[in-house]
Amino acid sequence: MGFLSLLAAEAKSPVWGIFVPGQAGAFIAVLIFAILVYVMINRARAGQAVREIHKIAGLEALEEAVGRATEMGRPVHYTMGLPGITDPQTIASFPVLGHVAKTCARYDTRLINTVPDVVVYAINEEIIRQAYLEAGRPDAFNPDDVRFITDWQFAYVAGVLEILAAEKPAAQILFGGPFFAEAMIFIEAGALAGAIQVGGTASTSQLPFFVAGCDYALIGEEIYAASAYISKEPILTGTVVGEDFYKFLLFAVIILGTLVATFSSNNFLATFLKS
Amino acid sequence: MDWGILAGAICTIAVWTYLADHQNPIWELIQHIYIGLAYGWSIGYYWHTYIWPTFTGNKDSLAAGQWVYIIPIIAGLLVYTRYIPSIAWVARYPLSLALGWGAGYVLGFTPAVFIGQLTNSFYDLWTDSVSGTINNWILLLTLLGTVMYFFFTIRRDANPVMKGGVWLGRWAIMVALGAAFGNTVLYRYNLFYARMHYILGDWLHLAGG
Repeated sequence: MGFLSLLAAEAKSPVWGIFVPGQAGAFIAVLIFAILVYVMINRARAGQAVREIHKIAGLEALEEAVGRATEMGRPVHYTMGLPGITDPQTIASFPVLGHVAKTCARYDTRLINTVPDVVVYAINEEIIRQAYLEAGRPDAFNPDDVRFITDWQFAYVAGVLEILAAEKPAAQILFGGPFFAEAMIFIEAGALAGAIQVGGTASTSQLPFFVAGCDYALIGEEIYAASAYISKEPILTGTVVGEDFYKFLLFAVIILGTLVATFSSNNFLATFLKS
Repeated sequence: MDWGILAGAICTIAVWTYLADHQNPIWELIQHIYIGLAYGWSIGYYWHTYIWPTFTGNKDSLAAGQWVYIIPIIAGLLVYTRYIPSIAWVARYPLSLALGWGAGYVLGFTPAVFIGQLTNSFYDLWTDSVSGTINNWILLLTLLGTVMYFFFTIRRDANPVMKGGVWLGRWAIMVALGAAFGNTVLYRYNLFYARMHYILGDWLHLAGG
């Protein structure tokens, strides 16, 4: 949809070579967002007071899942569904993968990561390698546990089912996305393997299955806040705080736009934003 | 005898044996065939669709004088340095490039959609019809409640407004997820029905229509 909008917009001549007519509202919205995030990141970096991110239910289950796998001496399986490097859910999953990998390294628990995308596969391997290094256990990192299976959706599913049946992980983490029809199959196979399951995605079509099938589920934007909450990294924390301020702003704009739509026949606010 | 249909039916039943035993030899055989086929198909697809045309195509190729393509080709080849331990660090540069491009792509393409969602949320709370008015009130309140649910820097029990909003948002999300759940389950039944039709109709000719 966004792609099509941009294609349509490309037919118009850009102003000053960069500003596309019809995208002014989007440009201003992104600019405000960028300023808010920039200011909040700088505040967080400088150690100045920024609002604290409250505890996200289900997030601490990641520790519990790895702990359980450690106690049982069985591996943890981590999947991002059908990730793509241009998907924000995939990008949000990277810090969480790093956190889980570091926890696994600390507890000397095996982490198996299956991937159906070659670029994400290479990135994941680097993230996990780095996490083991940071945990002081570079020797424990096994590249064979980061597995590219295939980029065919259901062939990937077949491969993961085999891994779940053979390796019997004590914990399965389905985090990021996008997830499609494979999600419920993974959750079912994970349950059969006796794994505790923590899920998190913004893929609305699969969220119901996460909520119904996983022991703990993070829904929608919670996955973006999760990495900030876990890591306490100033950049991530500042971003989430900036996002929250932006949501306040949107909240106000929605109420204002609704009042205008109710009491005026000319919704100038909508017209301006679409300009 | 249609050998294609026979092969499809045997593969379908072989996959279903997973339900009886998760590690039976029939399932493992079909699984390996499936993954092998996927690999083979992907290699052929990428070779014929991307790699070979990039070098020899009539346009948008090196042969057509698009020498700028050498840059992404080299970046792609650098990824393979990860298999040479002494220079494995080089692979991080093209991967960082890919990650940065991905994030930039998201930022560049998402706002247009987001603005549409925002302006579509400006509801008229006093329409000509009673049902329209009620609908719009429900839409607005559940939308605001759901936005409040996703505030991460305000405690959910900070004040009665926040508490009530989050409660409403949670219910709205659960109702939406329940509806989506039912919808998807129904769709899965459709898929199962289609597969049964294939087995019983196309293959065994026991069911018509």
